[in-house]
Amino acid sequence: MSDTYNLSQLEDIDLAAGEYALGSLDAEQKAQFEALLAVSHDTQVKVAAWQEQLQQGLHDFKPMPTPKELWPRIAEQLGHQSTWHHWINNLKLWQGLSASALALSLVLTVTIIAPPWNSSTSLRESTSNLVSVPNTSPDLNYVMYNTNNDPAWIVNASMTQQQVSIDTIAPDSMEEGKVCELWLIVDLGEPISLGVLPKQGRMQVAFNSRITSLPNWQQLVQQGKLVISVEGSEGASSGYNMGPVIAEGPWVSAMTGPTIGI
Amino acid sequence: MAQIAHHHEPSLKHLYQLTNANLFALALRILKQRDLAEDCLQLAFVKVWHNSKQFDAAKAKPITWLNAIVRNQALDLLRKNKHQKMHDSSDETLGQLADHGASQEQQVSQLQEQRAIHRCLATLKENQRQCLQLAYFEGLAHPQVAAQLNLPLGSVKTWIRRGLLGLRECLTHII
Repeated sequence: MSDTYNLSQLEDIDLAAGEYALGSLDAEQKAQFEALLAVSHDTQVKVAAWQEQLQQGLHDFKPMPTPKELWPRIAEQLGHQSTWHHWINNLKLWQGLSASALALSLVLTVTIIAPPWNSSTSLRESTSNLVSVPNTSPDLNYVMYNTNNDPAWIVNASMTQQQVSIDTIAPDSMEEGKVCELWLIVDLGEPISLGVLPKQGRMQVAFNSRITSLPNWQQLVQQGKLVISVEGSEGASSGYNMGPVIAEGPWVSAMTGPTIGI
Repeated sequence: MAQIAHHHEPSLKHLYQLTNANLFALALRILKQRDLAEDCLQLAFVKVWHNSKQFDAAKAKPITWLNAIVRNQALDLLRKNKHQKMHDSSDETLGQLADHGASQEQQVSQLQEQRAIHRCLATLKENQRQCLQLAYFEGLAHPQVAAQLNLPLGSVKTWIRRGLLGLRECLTHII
């Protein structure tokens, strides 16, 4: 039994979910697991299942009556919060209004003062098929770790949307002029570039037609392998000319569906 | 839960009536102090009121979600209040609780009697059971469990993992 969890392995994810529900993971392990939990619906379901099992297994007590005055106390607190005072005193409301005002002012500042889109040009040039994305449910996951064994990037592939989302967590800093490039190898063919891994934020890469035109492409992708190589700033010229490989591994499957916080 | 998400207070009251005794027992098990357990339940139900839109029936049962909220709230209060003497599970502690009045005495006695070890919990080895309970009811991570039991960290990790797997194995056969 290994001392640490490899969150690219389904068996380890399952047991780590149990420990997360139990509350026994130390701060570092907990942070690593929460990075995966934030994007993986399948992992969220595993945690909920473990919570239920722990409740069934560990709740070694029977119901205890509460004092009669407890519900009125709760109702009173809710009552105060459901009146006009609630809106006046609602911190989130004022924080939301402040955030909206700030966002509006930033939009106005960018629109009026900044030249259009210059700041994103270099990123778009180096990663022509990368754009910002809304949050989507993943079908497949891959976690790439940094040298401290913390998640560097979390890669999620959505088969239905035919795209890959990449969340930057904590990548190692790269040598000047060097980038990490993500590759997908399917059916033992030429590695297919999924683009240069971002240095920050969330990016999305669409599966190109070389992949989606293959028969049973979804199954092939699922059985495929991810590889990350170090390249010059322009990326590799082809899949057969990639630079040194620093990580590789299979996808971990995840269920699709809505997400909630547990 | 859907009605609570729309701030329908009678629905919350109904949920409270259905669950308060179980949730209060959980809070009391963690906090070992009635006034704190009452505060915990109050805070937890206010959270339920505000966060019920986050509940997803496809992922968890309502009682699982509620238990998780109450447990997290109780562990927060436990850490904040640091009533070390009050959560050492000793008879002395339970005796102190019993001094608060006849009804409390009765309840504490009931609590002691009711702490018959769960059937599945009883299938685990003592060290596995102890590690799981310390993590679950006292919010201790591996290093704190190891320190409290004065045991090597590696042993604690192994026992927790084996305990989890054993517990699940037993529950799978029962349910």
